[in-house]
Amino acid sequence: MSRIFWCLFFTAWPIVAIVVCAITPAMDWGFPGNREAATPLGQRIDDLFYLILGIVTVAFIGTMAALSYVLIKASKNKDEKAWFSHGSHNLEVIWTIVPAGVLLFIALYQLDVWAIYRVRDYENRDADPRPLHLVAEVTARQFEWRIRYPAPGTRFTSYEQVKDWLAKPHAGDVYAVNRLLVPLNRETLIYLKSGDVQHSFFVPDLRVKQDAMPGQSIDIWFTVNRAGTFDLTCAELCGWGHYKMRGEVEALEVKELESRLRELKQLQDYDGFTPPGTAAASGEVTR
Amino acid sequence: MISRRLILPLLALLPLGFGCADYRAEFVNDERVAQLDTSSPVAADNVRNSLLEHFGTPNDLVAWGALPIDYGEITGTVLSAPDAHTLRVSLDTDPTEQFSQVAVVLGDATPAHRTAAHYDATTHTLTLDPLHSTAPTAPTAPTAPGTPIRLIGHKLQAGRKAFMRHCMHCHGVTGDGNGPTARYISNHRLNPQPRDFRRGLFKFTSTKDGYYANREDLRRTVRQGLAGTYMPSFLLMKSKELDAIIEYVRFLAMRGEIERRLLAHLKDLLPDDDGTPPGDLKTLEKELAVDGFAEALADATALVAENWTNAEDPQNGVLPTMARLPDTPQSRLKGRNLFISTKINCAKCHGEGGRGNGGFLDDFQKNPETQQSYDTPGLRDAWHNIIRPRNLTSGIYRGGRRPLDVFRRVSVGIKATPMAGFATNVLEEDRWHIVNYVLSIPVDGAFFDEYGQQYHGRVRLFETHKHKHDDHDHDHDGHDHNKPEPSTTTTPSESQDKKSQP
Repeated sequence: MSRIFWCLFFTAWPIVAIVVCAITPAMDWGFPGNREAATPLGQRIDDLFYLILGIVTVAFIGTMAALSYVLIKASKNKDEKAWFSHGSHNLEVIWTIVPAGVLLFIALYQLDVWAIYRVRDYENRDADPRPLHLVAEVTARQFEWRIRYPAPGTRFTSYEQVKDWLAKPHAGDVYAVNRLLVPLNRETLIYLKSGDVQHSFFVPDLRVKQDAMPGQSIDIWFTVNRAGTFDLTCAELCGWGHYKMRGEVEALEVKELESRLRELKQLQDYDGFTPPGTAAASGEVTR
Repeated sequence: MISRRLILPLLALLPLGFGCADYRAEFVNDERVAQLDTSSPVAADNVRNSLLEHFGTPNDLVAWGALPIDYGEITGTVLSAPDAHTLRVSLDTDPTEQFSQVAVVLGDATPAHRTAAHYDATTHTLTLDPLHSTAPTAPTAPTAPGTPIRLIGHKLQAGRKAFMRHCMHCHGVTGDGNGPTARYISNHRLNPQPRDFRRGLFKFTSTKDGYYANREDLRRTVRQGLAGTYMPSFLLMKSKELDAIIEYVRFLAMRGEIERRLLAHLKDLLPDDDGTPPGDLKTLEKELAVDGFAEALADATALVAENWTNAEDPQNGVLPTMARLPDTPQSRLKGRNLFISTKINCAKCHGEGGRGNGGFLDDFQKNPETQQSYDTPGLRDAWHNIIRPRNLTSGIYRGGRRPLDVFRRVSVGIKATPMAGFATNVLEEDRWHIVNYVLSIPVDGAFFDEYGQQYHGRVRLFETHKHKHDDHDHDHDGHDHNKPEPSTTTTPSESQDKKSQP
C-alpha cells in the first residue's frame, strides 16, 4: 500500500512539472511582456535565461536517465557486487572540471550583456557622446516617483551638458509624478535618485531593475523597442507603503513624446488666466 | 496515540489562525467626549448618539441627507419580488460591480425607512437585509412590481473601502490623522503630520480666505500628492475610486466638524483641569445638553453644510484677473523687493534668501485657543504642530508649482497656517512680481555667490549695465556683489544667459 502511494507520489511531480511547462505559454506565466522583453538588451537577458534553462534541462535529464538506468539495472542483478566509487580520483576530477567548465562558459558568455547593461556605456559616455533623446531624473520617494525632464526639445550633445542639467533645476524643466514618458527606439538615460531610503526602479517588461540609493545618482540606459505602457514598481521593500509605489512607463514615438512633454509644460505654466497652450501662457521671455 | 502524533502538527498550524478575528473599525470620538462623561454623562451620550445616528460606524455608514455629500444614488424600478427580502430590479445607471450596504428607499417612503441591501450586478438581484440599528421596520410583504426604488450610498461605501486601503494608515479610521503609521511620520521634525480632517481645514485650496477646500482641490492633492511630504501621489488611481475617496474624506471631515461644534456648544459642562465639574451643572446640563441640544445640532449641521457648499461655488475661487506678468529680471527684482519689504515681509519667515529660516521662527507663538504662549518657539499650524516655512530654494512646492498655484498661495495664503494671504493689501500686479521672483529662486539662484554663500542684506539681482544713480557707477568685475543696496535698474545679464539650456 504504502509503496504504491510513494510510487504515485513521486511520479505525480514530474507529470505536474510537464503539464505546467506545457500550459505556461497559454497562461502567460512566462517572462513579463508576453514572454518578450521590450528592449533589445532585455531580449538578450532572456536569451541568457533560456540558455541556462537549456543547460539545466540537459543536465537534469542526463543525470535522471543515468540514475534510472543504474536503478533498473541493479534491481535485476542480484549476483554482482556493487562497485564503490568513493575516493576515485578520476571521477572527482571529471565532475569538478565539467561543471566548472559550464560555469566558466556561462560567466564568459554573459559578460557582454552585463557590459552593455552597466559598464560599456558608462565608460564611453565622455568619449562617445551620442545624441540622447531623453534624459529624465527620477527620484524615488516614500511612496512615489517624482520625475523631472529637461525642457522639451532639449538636445544634449555631451555628457558634460547632461551633468550640468542634473546638478540643479533649470527654467524649462518639466515636472511629473508616477508616469514616465520615454521615446521609442531611442536610447534613454534615466538618472535615478532616492529622496529618502533605498528603492528599486523595476520595469519588468523592459528587464530593467536598478536600486536607488540615498545620496547617489545612478544612471540607467535602455532603448524601448515596443510602444505601450509598462508597469513601474518598486522592487526594494522601502517601508510600509512599498506597494503604493505604482507607476507607469509609457513608450511613445519621438514626435508624440515631444508634444506630450510640451503639453505637460503648458499645464505646468498655467497662470489661471491665459488658456494653456497659447504663446502668452508660457511665461517665457525672449532674452 | 493518534491524537498524540497530531498535537505537534496542529500546534504548528495554530499561528495561521491569528489575525482572523473580526476586525471592526470604529470611529473614535474626540477625547473631550470622555472628559464630558465624568461631569455630564447625559451630554456625552447625546454627542455620541447623534454622531452614531447621523454618521453611523465604518461598517454601517449612514447617508445623512442634511449634508452636501454625494453619497451615490441610483434610481430604478422593481421588476419582480420573489419574496419579502429579494427584489429583481432594473437600475437606470447600471453599476458594473456588485455592492452592498446601501440604503434602499421604496416608493415615496422617506429615507428614514431604509434597509441595507446587497446588489448582485450579474443577476440584477437586490437582497434586503433589515438594518440592525436604525431601520424601524423591514418590509414584510413582497414589494409590488413597478415600485420606484432608490439606492443611496454606494459611492460612500466605495469611498470607505478605498480609504481603508489607501489612506487609513496615516489619516486614521476617523480621519483624525492618527493612523498606525502616523507616529513614524510625525517623528520627523521636518515633515508635517498627516492631516486631521476633523476641523474641515485643508491647507492647499483654490478658494478664498475663510472658505473650505472644494472637491477639485482635494482631487488635485490626492492625484498629485503633496511634494516633499509623505502624502504620495495617487496618479494612477481610477477616477471613480478617487471621487469616492474624496466624498468619504468630506464625510469624515463633516463628522469631525459637527462633533467639534457640539463639543464647543457643551464646553461649559466640561470639568476643570483638576476634574471638578462646573458648579451649576444641573441647570447648565438642562439648558445645553437637553433643551438646547437639538438646536445646537441643527445649527452646527447647517453651518457645516453651508461652508462645504460655498466652497464649491466658483465665485469663491481665487483666479487672477490678469495674466502672469512676463518673467523678466525687472519683474523678479520688483518681486524681490516686495519679498523683503516691511509691508509684506515674506523674509520674516522665509528668510532673506528664501531658505525658510526667517527670524520670526525664533519667536514664541500664541495658542489661539488658550491665548497663552507655547513653551517652544516656532510657527504653529491650527493643530498646534510646529511647522516650517517653505525653503524656497528647494524647488519643491507642496501646493503645486504652476504660477497659478503660487499666485493663490501669495493671494490667500495657506489655510490653517501662519502663511497669510495678501489679496487685500497687495496689488495683483505686485503679487505676480512676487510669483516671478519666488519661482526664479531655485532656478537661477540669484542670491548666492559662486561659492554657494548667501548674500546678506539687500542684494543685487543681476549685473547691471546702466545705472539710474550716477554716484552708483561701478564696474562689471563683481566687486560690488555684496553691496547692501538693491540695484534698481537691471537688464538681462551674462549670468542669465549662462543659465539658459544647453
